[in-house]
Parts: sequence; C-alpha cells; structure tokens
Amino acid sequence: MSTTGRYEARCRLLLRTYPRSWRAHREQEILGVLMDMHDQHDEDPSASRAPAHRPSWGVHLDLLTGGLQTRWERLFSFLPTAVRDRIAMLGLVLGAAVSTVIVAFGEITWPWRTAPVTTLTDGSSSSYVAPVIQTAGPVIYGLWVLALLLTLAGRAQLGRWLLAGAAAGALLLSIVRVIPHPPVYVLAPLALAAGLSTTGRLPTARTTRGWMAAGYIALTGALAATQLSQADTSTIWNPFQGFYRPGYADQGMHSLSVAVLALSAVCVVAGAIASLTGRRWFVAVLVTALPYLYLTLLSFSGVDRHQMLSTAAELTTVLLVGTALVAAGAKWARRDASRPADHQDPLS
Amino acid sequence: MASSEMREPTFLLLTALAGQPQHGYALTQEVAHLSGGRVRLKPGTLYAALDRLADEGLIALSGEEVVDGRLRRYYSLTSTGAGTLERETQRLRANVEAATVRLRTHGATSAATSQVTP
Repeated sequence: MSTTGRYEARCRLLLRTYPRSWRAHREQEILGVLMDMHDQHDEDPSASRAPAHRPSWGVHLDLLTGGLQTRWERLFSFLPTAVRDRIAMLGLVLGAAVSTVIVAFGEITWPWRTAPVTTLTDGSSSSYVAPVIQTAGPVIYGLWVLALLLTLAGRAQLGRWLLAGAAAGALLLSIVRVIPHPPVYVLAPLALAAGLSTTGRLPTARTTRGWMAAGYIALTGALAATQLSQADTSTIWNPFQGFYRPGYADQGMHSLSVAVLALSAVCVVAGAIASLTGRRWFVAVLVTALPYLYLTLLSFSGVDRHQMLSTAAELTTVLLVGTALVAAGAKWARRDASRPADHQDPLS
Repeated sequence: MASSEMREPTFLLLTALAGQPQHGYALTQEVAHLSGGRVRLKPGTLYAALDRLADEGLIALSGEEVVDGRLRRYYSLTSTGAGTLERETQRLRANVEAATVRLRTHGATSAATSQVTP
C-alpha cells in the first residue's frame, strides 16, 4: 500500500470514533480535508520529514476526542438544548457541593476508615491509626471542584474533560478493588452527575452575567452548608465495604442521590414527551435512572446489615445491566433518528 | 443567560466566511492566515465548530463539489451570522479604542513623571 493509501486508511480508522449517522453525512468531507492536509505536508519544501503515512498525534487526539464528544452529545440529543444546559449546570453545582463536603470532612477531617474500630476482648479499642487520606476519593472530588472553578473562569471545555475524568475515575474505582475507595453508592451518583454535566454546554464567566457566576458559587456553598448542618456526626457502619462513614458524607450522598434522581426525572419526562413523536429514548433514560433509584432506596432504608452486605455484587450487576440497556437504547434511538418524522422535537 | 463574548476561533471562522463561501480545508488555512499562524484548527475541532455554528444559524451550507475525488462542501455566513459578527466587531473595537486612549494617557503621564524626577 502506498504512503497516501496508508494515510487514508488510518484516517478512516480514526473517523470510526464518530457515530455512524455523522459519518454518513460528513466522512467524505472531513476525509477530503485530512487528505488536503497530507498533500500540503508533502508539497511543503520546509517539511524535512519523509512523506507521512499517518496523521500527526495531535490530529489523532483531535479526532478521537471529537468523535467521543459527538457520540456522547448525540446520546442526549433528544433533550432540548436549553434543558441539557440547565441539567449540566445543576449537575456540576450539586456534585461540587457534595465533593466539597466530602473531601473536607469525609476524607481529611474525619476520614473514611479502611478497617472498623473494633472493641477487643479486654474492653479496649484497637490501636488502628488512620492515615490522613484514606481513599482515592479526593482525586475524584478534587476534579469536581476544579471543574466548577475552571468552568466559571471561562475554561468550560477543560471543565468538561475534568468531569469526564471524574466520571471515568469514579467508575474505575468502583470496579478496581485494589485501590481503597469510597463506597459504590458514593461513586455511582457522582459518576452519573458528572456524566449529566458533560451533556450540555456549561455557562462560563464569559457567557453569563457577572452575578450568575457568583450565584452558582453561592448555591454550591449553600448546598454544602445544608449538608453539613443536617449531618449526623456519629460514625455509622458502612454495609457495603466495611468502612465507617462519617455523617457528613452520608448526608452529602443522600442529597446527591436525590438530586441525580430529580435530574433523571427531568430526562424521563422530556424523553417521554419526545416519545410522542415516535422516539423511544425515554426507555433508555428510564433504565438509567432505575439503578440509582434502587441505590437511593437502599441507602435510605434501614435494611439488615448482612442483607445489605450481600447486595454489593447485586448493585454492580444492576449498574452493568443498566449501562448495557442504555447502550441498547442508544442503538435503538439511532435507528429512530434515520426516520424523517423523528427530526421533529415537540419541546424545541 | 446572555452571550456577551465570542471565542477567538469562532470569531476567526465567521471572519473567514465573511469574505466568501469557503470549504473546510480553505477555512483552516484562512483562520491560520488571519491569526498570523497562532490558531490552527484541526479537522475534529473545525467540524465540531461548524456543526455548532450551523445549529445556531450563524452559517449555512451553500454548495458542494468534488475535486480530485474529494468532496468539498462550502459554507457561507448567514444574515444572523453577519449580525453577530458585526456586534462582536463593534464590541472589540470599543475595547481597543478604550485601551488606546488609556495607553496614550499612560504614556503622557509617564513622560511627565520622568521629566520631574531628578
């Protein structure tokens, strides 16, 4: 195969990161641009390198991130832009508030404990000394807070990538059990809220009036203060992973779980309305919300400890099945999108 | 929520299209030229921006052709896009004029201060 042929083949491979419907409309056009760029490189007398047989790493990264971003945005395209933008900002603010509380009180001031404080047979307590940082949780929480600050400072795109990193990190920590991590029901709502926050266009200091950016920060602070004021400061047995958990984090996760459910409910209602024209997306959104409804009900109810311990694997299964159903829903929706009638959105 | 400012790549893209309809590769070249080589749009970024601008009604597809077996689509500025670019240009011009006046004053003050100081 010639150098040009190999270059084109690599470009086509990279473009597969974009959704099929996008490629049907755009692939030949963007491929033309890539090949023009390749020709320009070959014709440039200042280019000292041999003819390129693949795009630069910068173009690799650009197409990979562009493709993933396009796929992700299409997943939520059934929602009107205004709804998506508001969900994104609410998700960001709520997650940042919860993260602030947990990183300050859940991890540092009153850390998660990786072993229970047991009472020995002679009546004394074990001599377990907790390290300053107990789990990898602060990485996730830090990303959240940084994303909020960067977004309000005008770097919304970077904020989106931090949120995507927070979501990926939270999911990864839930799966990779080697690294100490907060309970699954702490990570799961944070991951979902981070996901929701990357579906819309986040308003930045440049695109909002000055008082709105200050308002978002004030709202974050107020939510964090509310969680603190309502928190039970006693340690509670964490039935999921044998941790003790402070009441601050407990309260924070309850708040976030409810908020995520409320946001999911908005998606369900909007999806249901959209489905009146034949869209089936609300089914996918519904099954997304179900695992978190299940998690929230469990976290609120006083279920027997042993029974709850046995549900850890069950929760993971629910999450995985939920994700698989969402993926199936996405394919279903793509088929729908190819029908002319589906281009009408009753909410827009 | 009021959009009060436009990002530089968007401004350059709209400026590039203000002259005449352009295809994707020509747009990357034109943006690089307009920015003195500072802004070099890669294809993924370019098409994400074109999709967004088309959604917002600032640009529109104006034609297509096949050159050497390669599909080229031409984009043009809509009247909404021209209005948006005009407003952004006025905003930037006002900023430049304000800064120029202040800098002139600053220069005069500095010169006077240096003459007084022994």
